[in-house]
Amino acid sequence: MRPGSVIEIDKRSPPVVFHHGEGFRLERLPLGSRVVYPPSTVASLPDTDDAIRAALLRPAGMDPLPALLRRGMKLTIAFDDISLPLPPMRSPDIRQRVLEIVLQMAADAGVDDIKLIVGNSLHRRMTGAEIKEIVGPRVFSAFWPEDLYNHDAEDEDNIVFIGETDQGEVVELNKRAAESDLLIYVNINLVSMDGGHKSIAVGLGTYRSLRHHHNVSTMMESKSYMDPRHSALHHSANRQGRLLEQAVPCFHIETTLNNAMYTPALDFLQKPEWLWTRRDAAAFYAAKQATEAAPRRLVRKIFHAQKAPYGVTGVFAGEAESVHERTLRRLFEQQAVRVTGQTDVLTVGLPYICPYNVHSIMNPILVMCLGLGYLFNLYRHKPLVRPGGVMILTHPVPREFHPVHHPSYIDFYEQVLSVTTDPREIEAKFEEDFAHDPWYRQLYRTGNAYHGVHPFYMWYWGCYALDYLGDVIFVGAERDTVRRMGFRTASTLEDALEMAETTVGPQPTLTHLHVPPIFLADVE
Amino acid sequence: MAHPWRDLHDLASAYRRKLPEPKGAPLDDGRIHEELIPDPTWARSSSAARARTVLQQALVFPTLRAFGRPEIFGADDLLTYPQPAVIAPNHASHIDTSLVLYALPSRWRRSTVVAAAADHFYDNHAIGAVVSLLFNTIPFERRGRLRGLRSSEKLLEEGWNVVIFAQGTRRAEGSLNDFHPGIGRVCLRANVHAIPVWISGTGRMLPPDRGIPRPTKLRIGFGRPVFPQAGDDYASFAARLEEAVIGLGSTEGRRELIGRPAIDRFRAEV
Repeated sequence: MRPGSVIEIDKRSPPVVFHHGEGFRLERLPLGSRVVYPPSTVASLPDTDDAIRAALLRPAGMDPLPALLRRGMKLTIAFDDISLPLPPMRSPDIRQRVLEIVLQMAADAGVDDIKLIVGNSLHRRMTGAEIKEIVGPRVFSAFWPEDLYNHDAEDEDNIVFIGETDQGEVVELNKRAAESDLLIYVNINLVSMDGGHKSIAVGLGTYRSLRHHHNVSTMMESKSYMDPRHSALHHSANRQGRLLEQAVPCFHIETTLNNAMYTPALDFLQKPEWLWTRRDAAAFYAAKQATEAAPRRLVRKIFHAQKAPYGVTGVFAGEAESVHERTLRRLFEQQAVRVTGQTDVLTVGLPYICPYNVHSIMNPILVMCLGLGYLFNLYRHKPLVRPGGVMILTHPVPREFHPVHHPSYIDFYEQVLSVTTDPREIEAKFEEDFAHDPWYRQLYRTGNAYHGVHPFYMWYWGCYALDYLGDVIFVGAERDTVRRMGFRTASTLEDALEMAETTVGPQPTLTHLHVPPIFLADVE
Repeated sequence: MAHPWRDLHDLASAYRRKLPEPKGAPLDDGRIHEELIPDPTWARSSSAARARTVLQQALVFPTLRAFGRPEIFGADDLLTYPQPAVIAPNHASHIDTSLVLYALPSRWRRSTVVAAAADHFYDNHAIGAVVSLLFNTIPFERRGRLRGLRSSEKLLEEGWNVVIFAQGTRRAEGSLNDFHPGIGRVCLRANVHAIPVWISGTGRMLPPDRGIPRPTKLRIGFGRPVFPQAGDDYASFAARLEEAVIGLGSTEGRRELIGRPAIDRFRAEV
């Protein structure tokens, strides 16, 4: 396996590929710039089903799963929703494989009161077809729709109050899960912020329980939220998780994947440019031309039809904290990259997908969240960019929204961002109204819309970066949209670098984050 | 899309127009029947569709849920099958229409019309209009007349799914008589597949001789599509389709697991 690497640009260096939404840019970075590349793909487990069985029979800190299952018990199995992994996994999804084995054990034990719940939290309800893709046809045809359904955080009759943590955080949970004799959660730990206590506390929680950590103050103290030990978000979710696990016995099953996220057609994105063959270069050129020439909707459709050939690298089961520790260790084997020193200017190309636009549109707020939220936070210890530094992002940022999936985002863009972009002011003035708006509530509960409060969380996700950075510049983006969000635009990377110099001074150091595939920078 | 005013006009005229009594009308000439019973095209307009959605969601489906707590099987698979199609359930009660519509995924329901017996529902113009509005029905002449078949074929060509109760009339629960070859004619001439549907419980809930429904557990299952094959004639296609419906209802299929816990179905689905 080739570890992650930091390459310095010299005269012989090839141009660097930047994601640009549903397209690509090819950029020549200034001499001396650094490019951080992810490690190559870790080998997957030789037999996934064996690994699942082994994890279930020898769990960490708990009895083997078959010993926890008995006739007449109430069993609930929840699992991660469509936001994981990205892009969606080629069939069979790891959740399907885990569910089939767990259900077989339940059947053998004579358990017949079983419900499967999508841990979609305040995300949109998944459609039957989307759920079928995750759980597979066998589970789907047996359980859908009565015994396999989406969690509804606004269904007052089916939510129970569990209690308050010592810090006064309210814990509410899906009633069926709370009343179960055993709650099993099946996750995919794509990045280090996923999993652990957060799975159940957030996945099956409500607005009232999420607001204790999905807020500006907590996010400002999460440095970074990809590093659970230094993330106030995770500390809060852990307190909630510990409390709810006193009320419900929980069995966690966590899985990790390698970074094989591109189909053969886009395989060139998997390796550094300096390892490209002529074939890779030709494939890139063809892909770039095609994405520019074809209608945007068609390109989007093609991109969203991509299914990643991920390999499973780990399956861990048992008690939340011991399981999660092992999961993270395995995850970092694939994702950690050591980087020395911070940079004045950080550049990153934003791809077509983030957790909230699967089969959907990446609207401007999601672009902000992906850039200043997720990608800025891909660090441990300290950010890749220095305080007051500049982040340059490439994405077209069209003013485009999915009306079914993101209705409250449209109003957030029009009514909130037109007044202010300051996260604290937004939180104080607007959050409650959006969170309790009956129309958004209705669309969340009966349609396929994200909860009314969701765009606020997206904005908070980037609040630390907003505060930390001296400037944010988008290259090749729609000027009005970017300006509405309080950022600046440049037509080329050269222009953006010149603009950045006014903030960070002449001759800035530049580092490019070559994602995806996703990795985590350990900045020393 | 039809203009809202035109929809309103059509809707109003449906009540104003005196619909003739179809009984005793000529047997074999579709054109005459078209003149006699107008096709309620207004019921397929977007405004009527919106009204229908509201009425179904507010009135029809809650009632159905309250009385029957329907259990649905295989409806999700419909999402992977092409439209349009003929939907072919067994028929034991007037409840069947509501149950089929209730069970269809909304993507299918929106583009589905139901063939309703012209002599039963359309001899009173007010009832005809209400039924058309609630269930998007079309008048379907029985006893050998061709108009119902022709209009079904035409609607299929226009992209609508058509629910046809191929038994022709309500039969005691559990009994299937020969499917009428007319359904074969519709599928073969329009070159579409048919979806076999098995319904159980409606006959006990509201048998033909009863006026008030009694609470009964309802179940409905959708099978794999039956496609027209080379060498099929109307009767043989209808027979194959009937077999598929019987198969769905038989004890060998998944239906035996109806009412059993999902985990038993999971175990049976290896």
